[in-house]
Amino acid sequence: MALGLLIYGALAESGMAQTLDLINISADFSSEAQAVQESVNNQPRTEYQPIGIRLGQFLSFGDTALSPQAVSDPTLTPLRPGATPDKSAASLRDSQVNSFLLRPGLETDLVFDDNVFRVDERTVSDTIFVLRPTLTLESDWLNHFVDIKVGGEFGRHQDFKDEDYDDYFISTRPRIDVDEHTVLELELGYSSAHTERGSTDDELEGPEPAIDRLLNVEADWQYQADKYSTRMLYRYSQIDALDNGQIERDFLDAHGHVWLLRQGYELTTGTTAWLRPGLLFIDYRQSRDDNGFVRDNQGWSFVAGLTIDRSAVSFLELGLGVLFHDFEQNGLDDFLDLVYVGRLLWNITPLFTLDVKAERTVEVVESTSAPISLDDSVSLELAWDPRENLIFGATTGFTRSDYATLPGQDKEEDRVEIGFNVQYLLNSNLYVEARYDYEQLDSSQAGSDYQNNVFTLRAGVQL
Amino acid sequence: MTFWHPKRGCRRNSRLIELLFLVGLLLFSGAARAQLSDYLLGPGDKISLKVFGHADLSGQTTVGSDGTIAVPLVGQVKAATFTVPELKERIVTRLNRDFVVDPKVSIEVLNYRPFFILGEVNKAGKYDYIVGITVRKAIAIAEGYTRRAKHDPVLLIREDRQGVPVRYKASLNTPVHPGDTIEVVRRLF
Repeated sequence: MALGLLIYGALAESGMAQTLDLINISADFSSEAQAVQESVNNQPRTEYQPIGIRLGQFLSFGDTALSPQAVSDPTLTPLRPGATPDKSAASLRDSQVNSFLLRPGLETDLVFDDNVFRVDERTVSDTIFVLRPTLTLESDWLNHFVDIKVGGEFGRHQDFKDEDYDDYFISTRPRIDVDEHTVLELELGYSSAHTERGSTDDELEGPEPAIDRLLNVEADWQYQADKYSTRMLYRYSQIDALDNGQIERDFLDAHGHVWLLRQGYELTTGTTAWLRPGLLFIDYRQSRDDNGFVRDNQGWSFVAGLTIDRSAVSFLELGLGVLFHDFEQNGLDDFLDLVYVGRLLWNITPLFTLDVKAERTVEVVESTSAPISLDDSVSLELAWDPRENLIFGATTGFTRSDYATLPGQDKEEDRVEIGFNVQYLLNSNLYVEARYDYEQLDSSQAGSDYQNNVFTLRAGVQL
Repeated sequence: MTFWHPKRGCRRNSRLIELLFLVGLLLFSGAARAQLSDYLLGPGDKISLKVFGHADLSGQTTVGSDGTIAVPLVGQVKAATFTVPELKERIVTRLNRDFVVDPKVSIEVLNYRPFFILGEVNKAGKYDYIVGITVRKAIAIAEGYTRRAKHDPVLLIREDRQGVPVRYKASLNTPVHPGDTIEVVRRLF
């Protein structure tokens, strides 16, 4: 795992935590594709979605009283995060601050992990109880959107108490519907999260899981008119790596800047050609670490691609380009290499989705011997919902990480991940899930290989 | 050795097309006629009864819930589960026996009873019957399939002559009869 921290606020509704790799020169621009929205995992399940607690119309702008009718009018559908905003002139005119919804949620996991420390030999297992509360306050407006999310993840081990962790986050995501062509999305988040055992961030092997605190600011400007579309994304990240016992981690404190521009032109209906240049800068607070290693690095990439989104059945995105990366450390070779991105999402039937992704990215890592790794990853995900409230999933992924190291310290890792899960939605307030995850790491560094199996039983409550 | 003459070939082709067209037209009209002629009347159907030269015996009536219609002089005549020609025959027989010599009777269905559609469609319910409607058109009227619908085949429930509902597997081109119930079932994959 790169400098990824657990930001599960955005996924409070689904009750699933996920890792966001905040500092890499990549972004998902396909979330609004028809087929993606029609896929099994993105299906609106109105009967099983929490309705939230309405706080009432307690806000108003000047003399413009809030119109409760606007809310009760069934023809006016409030926008939800990720939904395509209704940018018609009439709806913009009608957009008023209306009310807010409060969405509390609580997940509990019972986890059995057969290799808690992710080691090759003398593995030990443990049972972990995880509590994951979240609280979201979100707007319920016809246009524009804002939310504030607060949450945490607290893990308690039955045997290895030192592995217990307390993670938390707070984030806000305002969205401004500027006009019928333009949307500006912002994000401000702060989180504190432990690094998982076995991840590259855990290379220092402290007595307890290391903790990273991350401040993240993102601005995403989207413009679409006729055949042209432009998207500009800027992301600033600040990492504060806390010391772990006697292990100093201050040398990992850094600022990261990512710029991405995506310029698209619709060749024919549903087929868009695009160009995506990007820049990445990582600036460490300490000019050199304790070993005299200079970690500062920067790079750029330029990708040209094609997106085919002609129907709700399939979505294809292919991109190919080059990336360049250079380092301040003498002896670390700058490199110019090919970069690619690909995704095929196919709703084989209305109830069965296949999602294949492949990508090469530069990942910022917390390895002592390398500031970044060049990752080639491919993943396959299947989702099937034979009933509205019963969702089966299967995932498999392979990642090859090639670390940028000094000569003689070569490090490569192959990571295989396989997972199965079944989620059962009891009603709009309760759900349960069972998961199985397998992970295998083959490293060029002796003693770093491991395999582990994780079984999870999850229950969630949401209002 | 024979040579293919382009003009002659074209003429032959056009004649063949005309012939096929005529055969198709005959078959289609025959099918449509068959569709109407084998239709079993039922409660809710509104029919027009005309007895030539006897205006007082003519009129409009609706098949009642007991499956009968009221015919002047004759009284209650069972109409349900009979086709239009069969009902006509029954009325002619009854009139001829006691009241009218060699009656000339015509029966026309003015309004068919509705059909029903349920299951995985966006708007299940009762819909007015339209002559010539097929399962495909009926589903379109019901605002199409839901995401979970099995598209083909669908179930069609139709009452037989004994009034017993019988379930058929129907394709999208199957004609719908008044009183039919179409059930679009749920798919598994």
